[in-house]
This record gives sequence, C-alpha cells and structure tokens, in this order.
Amino acid sequence: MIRDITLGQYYPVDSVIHRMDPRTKLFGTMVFIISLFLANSIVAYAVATVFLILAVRISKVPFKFIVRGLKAVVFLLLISVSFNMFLTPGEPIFQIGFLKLTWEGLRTAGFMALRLIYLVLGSSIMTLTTTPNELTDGLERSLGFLNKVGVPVHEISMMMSIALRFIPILIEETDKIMKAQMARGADFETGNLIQKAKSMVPLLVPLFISAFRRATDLAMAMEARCYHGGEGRTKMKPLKYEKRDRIAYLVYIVYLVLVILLRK
Amino acid sequence: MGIIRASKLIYEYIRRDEDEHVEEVNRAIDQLTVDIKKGDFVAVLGHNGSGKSTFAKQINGILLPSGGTVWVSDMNTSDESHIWDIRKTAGMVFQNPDNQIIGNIVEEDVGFGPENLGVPTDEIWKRVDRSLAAVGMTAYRLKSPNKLSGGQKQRVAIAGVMAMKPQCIILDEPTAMLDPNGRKEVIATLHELNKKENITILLITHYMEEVIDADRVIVMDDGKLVMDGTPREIFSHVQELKSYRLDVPQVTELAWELKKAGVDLPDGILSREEFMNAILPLMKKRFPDQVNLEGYCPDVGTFGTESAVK
Amino acid sequence: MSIRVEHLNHIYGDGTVYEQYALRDVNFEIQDGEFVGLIGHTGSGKSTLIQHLNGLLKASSGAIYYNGENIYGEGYDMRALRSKVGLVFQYPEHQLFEVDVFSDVCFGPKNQGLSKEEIEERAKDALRQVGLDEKFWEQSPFELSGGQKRRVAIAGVLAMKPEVLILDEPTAGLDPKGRDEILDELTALHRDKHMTIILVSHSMEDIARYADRIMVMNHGEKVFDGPPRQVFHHYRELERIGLAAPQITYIIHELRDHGVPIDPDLITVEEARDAILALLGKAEEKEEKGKDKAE
Repeated sequence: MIRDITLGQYYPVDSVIHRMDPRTKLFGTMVFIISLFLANSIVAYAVATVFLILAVRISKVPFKFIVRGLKAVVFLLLISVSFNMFLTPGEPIFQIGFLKLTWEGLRTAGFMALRLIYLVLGSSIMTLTTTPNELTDGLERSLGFLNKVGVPVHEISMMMSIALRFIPILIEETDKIMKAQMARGADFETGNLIQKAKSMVPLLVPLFISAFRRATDLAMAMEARCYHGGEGRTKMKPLKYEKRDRIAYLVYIVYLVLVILLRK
Repeated sequence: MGIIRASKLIYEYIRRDEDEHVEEVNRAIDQLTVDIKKGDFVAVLGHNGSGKSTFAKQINGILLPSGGTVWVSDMNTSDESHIWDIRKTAGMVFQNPDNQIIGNIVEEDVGFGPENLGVPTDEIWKRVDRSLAAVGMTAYRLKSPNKLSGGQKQRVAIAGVMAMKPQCIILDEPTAMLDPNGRKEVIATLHELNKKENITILLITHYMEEVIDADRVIVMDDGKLVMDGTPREIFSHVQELKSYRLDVPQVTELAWELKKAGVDLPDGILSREEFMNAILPLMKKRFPDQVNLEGYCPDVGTFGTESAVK
Repeated sequence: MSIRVEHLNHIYGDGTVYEQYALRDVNFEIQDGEFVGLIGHTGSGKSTLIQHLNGLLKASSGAIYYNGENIYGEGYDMRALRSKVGLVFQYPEHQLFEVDVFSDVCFGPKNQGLSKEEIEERAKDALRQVGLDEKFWEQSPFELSGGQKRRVAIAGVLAMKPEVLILDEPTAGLDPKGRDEILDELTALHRDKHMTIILVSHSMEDIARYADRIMVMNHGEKVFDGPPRQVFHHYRELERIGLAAPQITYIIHELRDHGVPIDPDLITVEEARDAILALLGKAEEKEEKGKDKAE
C-alpha cells in the first residue's frame, strides 16, 4: 500500500515540465485545483481534461505511472462517490430502504469522482517531475512572505526535505524489524483489534528508537557541516524564471479564464 | 605546531537524575595530549569505549572539553566565535552513512556545506564538481543516495566535507558498517585525498588492516593515549596491542609467532611482501635446491633491524 | 535431522522487465550439528537465502525440507518452524524493545505460548548461554554496549530452544575482542549443545577459524560448498567474485609457488606457524630458546 503512493516519487526523464521552475509548477497545480472546483459543466471539464492530458504528454512520464497514484485514494473515492450517489436529495431512480439513488446524486457523484481523480493526477504530475528538494525550495520561496508573520518557512521546508529523504529508509527498516520479530514468533496478522494493537509494540519501539537515533545523528552531521539555519545561506540551485516559465504562466491564465467562461 | 593539538584534554559524560543531581560521571578522555602534523595520515585505534570517538567529536567542536584545550589550526575550540571556522577547517565524517546525508540527490548533498557557508552559487558548483571528482563519484551525481552502496555513500559524505575546503578530515569509524569491498573503497579514497590534495586525515577505526599504510598510529585505551608511533613500531608490540583488546593483521601475527619461536625475522612485519622477503632466504637455506627467490626483492624490509624501522 | 534445499529460486519482479534472480537454483543439505559459514559480498543473495530457511520469505520455485517435511506443504506450521530454525538478524537494535533485558528475552518463548515458569527458565538459560552477567538482566537493553546488545539478541532467539541457529553477521561493528567473545560463545553452543549453526559473515578469517563447512554465494548462486581448506584452494576464483581467502592462504600459496614444500591446506595462523617451524627445523642455533617460548 505504502509503495503505491506516487506522491513524492521523482520520475527522472528530461522534459520541459521537468526543467520548469518549481514555483511555476506549484502555481500551476494550484490553478488546476482551483479550476476543478470552479468547473461545473461538461464543457469546462472537457477543457480541464485536455489541459491534464497535454501536461501528461509534455511531462514524458508514462501515463501508467501517473495512474498508479490513484491506488492510494481508491477507498476514499469509493466512499465519497457512494455518499454522493445515495444521499443527494432529488428525483429518485430507485430506492432500497433509506438508500435512494437520484439523478442529481449520480451527477454530483460523477463530478466528485472526476474532481478527486484529476486532483490526484494533477498533483502527481508535479511531484513526479520535481525533485523533493526543488519542491521544498519552491515552497520556501513562494511562501517566503509568511516569514514576516513569524512562520519559520526555511525550517519547515528543511524538515520536509529531510522527511522525504528518510521515508524510504524508515520503510525498509520497518520491514527489517518486522522480520526480526517474526523470527521470534511475533504475529502481526491474527487476533482482534486490541491484540493487533498490542502486537505492534515490538515493531514500534525499535522503530521509534531508531528514528530518534537517526535524528540525533543527522543533527550532529548537519552541525558539523556548518548548518545554522537559513540565515546567510546561499543556494546551489537558486530559482530563476526562464522563458518557459513565462509561457507556462500565460497558459495558466488562458486556461483559467476558459474554465470560468464555460461555467454554467 | 601541528594542525590539531590537544593539551591535557579531559572530557566527562555526566549523567544526571531528574533533579539535575549528578548520578554518574564517566571520564571518556583522560589527560590526552597529542599533536597532529599537517599533511599526515593518522590512524587512531582503540576498542569500543576507549574514548576515540569522543576525541573525534572534540576536534570540530561538537563536544567541548571538560578540561584542557583543543586547538584546530591555532583556534581554540572552546572559543565560540571560531566555531564555524573550526568546523570548516576540520571536516567530519561519521559512522552511519545513512544518517549524515542530507540531500535527496548526491550533488545537492555535496553542496550542502558550501551553501551553509554562504559560498556564491558559481563557486558552489565548482566545488561540487571538484569534490565529486576527487572521491570518484562524478558518475553518480544525479542519483538518489538511497540507491548507493555503503562505500559509495561514505564517499559522498567525504565529498560533502571536501566541498567545504577543509585542511583536515576526521573520520569516526567510517567503515564500521561497510562490507570488505566498501571498506577498501573508502580507505583508498582517503589515501588519495591525503596524497593528492594534501589533506590531513585522522582515521578512527578498529580494523587493523586499515592502518598499515598510515603515517602514524595512535592507540587509545580508557581515554588515555597508550601507544604512538609508525605502524611498524606499533605492530611490533603484538602482546601489548592484545592487552588493549586489539588485533593485528594475520601476517603480522604469524611473523610475531615465528619470531617468538626463535625464527630470525624483523619486527613489525606489515605485509605479505615483507613476510616473503624475510622468510624466503631462510627457506632457501633449508631447501637450497627447491626454493627459488624469483621476484624476491631484498630492498623492502629485509631482516636486520635498521631497515625494519624504515 | 536436516535442512534440505532443492532447486530454490527467488525472483523479484517476476514476469516483468525488471525480473531479477535473487536466488537461482540453489541446492544443498545441512546435517544436524554442522557449523556452516555462509559467505558472499553484499547483494550475493546470502541474506535472502537465510530468510527462506525459516520461512520469512517464500521461494518463487523449489522446495525446502526441514527434517524431511516440505515447509511449503499444505498446513505446515510456519511459526513452529521459526522457533526450530532461529534467525538472529544483523542489528540487535531491530529487535530489542522491552523495558529490561530479561523481559526482552522472554518475548520469544512467550509467543510460543509456554507457561510463565517455563518462559523464565528458558530466558535464564539463554542469557547464561550467551554469557551475559546477571547484573545486566534488569537493565534496559538500550543502555548496553554493542557486544552486550548482540548477546541479548542472540539470547532472545536461543530462548525459543531452536535446533538450528542462523546468525547474520553477528560480529559486524564489534571490536576484535567483542568479536572473538561472540564467536567463542557460538562455538561453545555448537560443541556443548550440538546446535546446528549457520554463520553469515564477510570475514574469511573468522569463518576459517570456526566453521567446518563453507558455502559461497555469488549473484544468487551457490558457487562453492565444502570444507574451508577445500574452498580456499579456489582463492583466485574467490578473489574474482570480490571475496578473498584468509591472508594465511595467500602466504602458503606464495611459499609453494617459490618451491617451499608446505601443506597447501593450512588456513589458520597456528597451523601455518607450526608448519613453517617444522620446515625450518626450528632454526637450529636458537632451538633451545625457541622451544621454551613455543611452549
């Protein structure tokens, strides 16, 4: 399950989207998400579909790879679709007990599902084409203004970047700990909820201890390499807008206007 | 005056209970005085808990002395105003390769140090290029650190330190978590940096094979400096090393055992070649018709004491 | 009693373009009471192999028979297998979790569903077998030294009373003395309790000294299998796959290349010393003195 999440997984090919400034991509994703909530007609969704397909094609990431990100939200998708389908008031098609399937429900559920799917696909394109470091860099720069109101933007983005680096390591470690405990007869699968929760203790304790150890080690290593917060820091890869970014912003505006105009 | 100097250095780990009362004092370094010459490759040996790692952390100011003084390039580590200069001069590589790589891409990690130092962007790229080349990791610059072997990760960590342009690199058991190939890889890289870039190396380890090519070996036990000399001098004292819970390479041990039994061999044989050069003439004497001395090179460590302490 | 492995294959990404053999057609049989050294560089498949032996990983094809029973047979009790084939992983940090050493060692037998007395009895036995002083039993396992943690981890598996004990690099990161202590304790278990031991290691020197059989893995295949002396004859091939024979092997072979009539099968320092002394007739002029010291 954890392995299915494509969010935060970089797909290394060379494309215009890969080379774009992370801020452009962040902004683009935001525009796309907003457009999904604005769109309420089939035509508007068609425009969004075209926009999405174009983005996928230009990114050179195989469609199959992007779709994999959906696996993680299938459950959420099913719940929200069935809620919308049966609980939206309106003209019933048929009724079983208190469950009533309505045309309106079907319609909202359809849009809802599309919205959710597009949302995941859209953000997947961003994470698949942007290295985690670029992403945090982009966030740090785009949200720089929050610094003035006392939000430690640099620290937060540094933490995100470190978290991304250590997630695969900790997943692997979880697997190793599980095996070590299974070799001692631990059972993580059977039993009721309470027994299951209890059986997690031998897994979680070593995992937490290891994570804390790693954190202490890493803090020491960062200090040894003269890390002292964001102040006075330079960038190896400073963010700079290029021509392609300006074109992208133009495309966003045209797209957003189109979607708004095509609203019912 | 050496690049790293410690004078009567003391360090105590103090354990306190909840009320801040001292529960236990553990003296990890006890009156250590040492002077490391610039450009040397120095190995620090000692069993686990001998204080060698604590000493390493003293040098770049991660830990500060409880008593005595440490100078790095004439800067006192206790003087807070020099802390970044000290850390820049004496870079540090740690044991666990995973827990010291910060970047999600190799080249970005190497650039982390110079970024912190406020080095201009162009210069960062130059330093990253050079450092990666110096450790032979240029081909991996765009890879994720998670995809590298242990030895490669340590080389990235070394490159990360090199990019800060240090005069000296301190490595705290950098090979303890590596397999034999990774170990060789890292040690070879260090020797190359030492020779080509004239970087002073302070290698902390308990693998004996790694220290035979060092210029100088320091043995620590119980927080104290107990032996200090060239590898050959140190390895002549097999018995003493064993008393400090250390080992010697098999060939050294064999030579020492033979010598103990009365065979005329020089002290402190470190390599197979030296051993062959010493034993073959003896064998020739016993079996003049069978033994050939082909490829035998009498210049390297023949028996007789002068050349042995070369 | 034995472990028999037949045509064992383990394939990652089966059926895709990423198909990769972690194990390829591995066959062997380990008899009761053997001390086997398993060696290979990182990624050679040795860790994958040992995880098959206690059923943590399932083979893509092939069979494993434990005491004649196919462990992939229907209704085979995998948990029972895991207590008979004990596996100690490389890092003790991956398994220690209890508040004190003693309770941690009790974890295994507790999972076997034994009575409280039996559990405690076994934990005590196991801790004594690994030579951990009683003063540590009530301590937190996290405050111990590396060597002590490793002992607790081994005790945690021993307490399940396994018939076979597999250890994945039990000496990694230990200093020479700590390493010798652990290996000596394993030898004692082997000798006194007739336990079958499979030791995974990178160190040819250690294996040469302790194991009576060596299996060498490379790229998922078993490339050598036999007594250490016999395997080390292939020191040139070993080197080609990124491994090395013990230093002594090289010295012996180099001596032989120069015409010295020395036995090619010597692998430990002691053996080499005795053979060379014999050849030299113990250096006549110092014979007296030499004899004294040698004794």
